[in-house]
Amino acid sequence: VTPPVTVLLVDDSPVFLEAAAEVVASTPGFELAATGTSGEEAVELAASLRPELVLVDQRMPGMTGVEAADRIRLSAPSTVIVILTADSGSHLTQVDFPVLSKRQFGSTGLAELWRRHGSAR
Amino acid sequence: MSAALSTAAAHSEATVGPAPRPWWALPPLLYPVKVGALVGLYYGSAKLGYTFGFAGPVAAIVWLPVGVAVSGLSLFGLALWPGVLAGDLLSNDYSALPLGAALGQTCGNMLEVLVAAWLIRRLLQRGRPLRSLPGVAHVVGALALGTAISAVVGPVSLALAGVVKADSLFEVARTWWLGDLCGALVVVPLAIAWWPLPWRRPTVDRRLVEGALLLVVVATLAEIAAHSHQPVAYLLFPALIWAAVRFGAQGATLAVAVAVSITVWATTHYEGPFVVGSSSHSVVNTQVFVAVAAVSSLCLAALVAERELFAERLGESRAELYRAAETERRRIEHALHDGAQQRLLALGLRLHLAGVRAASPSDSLSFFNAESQLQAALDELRELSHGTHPSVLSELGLAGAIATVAARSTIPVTLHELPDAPCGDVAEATAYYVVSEGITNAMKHSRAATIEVRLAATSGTLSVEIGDDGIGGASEYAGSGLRGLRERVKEAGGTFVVSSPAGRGTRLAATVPAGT
Repeated sequence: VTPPVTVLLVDDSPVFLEAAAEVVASTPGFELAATGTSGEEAVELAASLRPELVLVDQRMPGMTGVEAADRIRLSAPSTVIVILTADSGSHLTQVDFPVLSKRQFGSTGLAELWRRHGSAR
Repeated sequence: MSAALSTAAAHSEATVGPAPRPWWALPPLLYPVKVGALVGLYYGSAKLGYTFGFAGPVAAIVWLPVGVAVSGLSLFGLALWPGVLAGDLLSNDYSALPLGAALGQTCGNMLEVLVAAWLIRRLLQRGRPLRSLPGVAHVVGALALGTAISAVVGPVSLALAGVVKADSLFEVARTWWLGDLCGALVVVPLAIAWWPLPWRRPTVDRRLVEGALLLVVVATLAEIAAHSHQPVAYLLFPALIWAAVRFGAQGATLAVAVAVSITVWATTHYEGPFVVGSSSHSVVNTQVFVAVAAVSSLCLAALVAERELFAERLGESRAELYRAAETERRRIEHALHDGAQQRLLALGLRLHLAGVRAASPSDSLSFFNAESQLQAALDELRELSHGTHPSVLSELGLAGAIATVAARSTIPVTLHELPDAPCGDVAEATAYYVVSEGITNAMKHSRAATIEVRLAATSGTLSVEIGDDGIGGASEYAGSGLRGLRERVKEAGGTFVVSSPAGRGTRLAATVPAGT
């Protein structure tokens, strides 16, 4: 049996964070390592917990998702980082990370996300 | 950089002028020079009056020295009064007047100048009196009051000395008052309007040419009126109106001075429209004309200044409204994004989970239907939110938002000097709209091969320039994108320039005040 994929979930909105955590917890093969509410926290948690998958919201006060992702990649290059956005994501085409609209978070599913971006590591 | 700027501003605000001189200290060296200059000007203008026959030993048509003295004391301080006293004592015609009468007359003149100058100084301390109708009324009132003192003291001392007969006292006092008032009305507003003198060398431009032309027209019309035997002094008024409307108080006072000089000169040489019957009548006619011309010109100039001030304030309040609206739009966008949008997104996730976990396919379908309804609501919400403030600006900042627009362009875009520090909501939103609209326009119409975008944040402004190498010939008409951009930039308090010569590309340049 393969061990579950550890997930770090970061968003400044507690309402969304709670619902997304429930999605992660109820998806087989994935395990929620921690949740954070800011870019700075994302960098710290990623360094200390070494999750395999980081889902981080782009628009947060202080450090943005992409800024946090850049730092996480420096300290842990093997981490798969996905940027979450409340919008369609069309304005983040220049970003160096996979972008997922928060609306598709439920329907796309973690497994699909992992298959697309995680297996390529 | 903005921090450095604000420090500099705070520093300059904190700087105070030199401490006021204590009352016991000796006057500065410049003082005797100023007093001497005032004596010279006072005596010179009095001599000018006598020489050219503006003034006799008793009264003048237009008594310029009072205007010179009130101007000097108003602009440079009442402490210069010895200059007025010396000038007046020197100008008295002691051969025609007994000493006592001359000294009495000098007392009246001193009192006149001090009262008028004290009142004018108070007006000057409160602002620019010639730029409002109440201000002009106060100036005229102050001069009328001051000159009335001299017009009572002077003739009475002459009557006591037996120079003036008691039965002609009223007529002498009236001529005296009008003469002094006219001198003050011509000189004092001229001095207030033109001080400090514009020392810089004037550039030869259309305005200077128009000003010169105006003075030539005033002089010509005054000459025509002066040499006509018909009462055509009203010919001057269109030119005086032109002066006041186009050149404000400076133009009005200068034009009146020119017109009055020529008209008075003519009357003293028994020519022109005001010479009728007795010389006393001619004098009063001329004086009334001078007073009316001066006061109407000043009023018109003040009205023009008031109108300009209103226009300026209207523009400011319009910009202020726009800034307030833009700030409010951003607040709403943030509130929607952080509040309702996140809540609905979370609700969508929960509906999806419920659909996945549902016991029967029909229950599952209901949940998925609810989820897609929610997605539609989110779409509408996002459209609404986008209409208020570009959320890409909130997410990526100005540089990132512009890079995103550039990346979507079908024509390659080169970006220069994107500012990395925030420039304020309004400035950033405006710059963003200029660039995105400019690129959209270029993709639609220009057939360009490349687009260049340049942004520069300098000393409180944000400038955007977007140029392409396409066919040019872009036109700005009501309802066009360019017109919309111009409106938007104007509302943000900025300037917008379009240059699009046919065959040589299109260039848009906008500069907006940067906030924080």
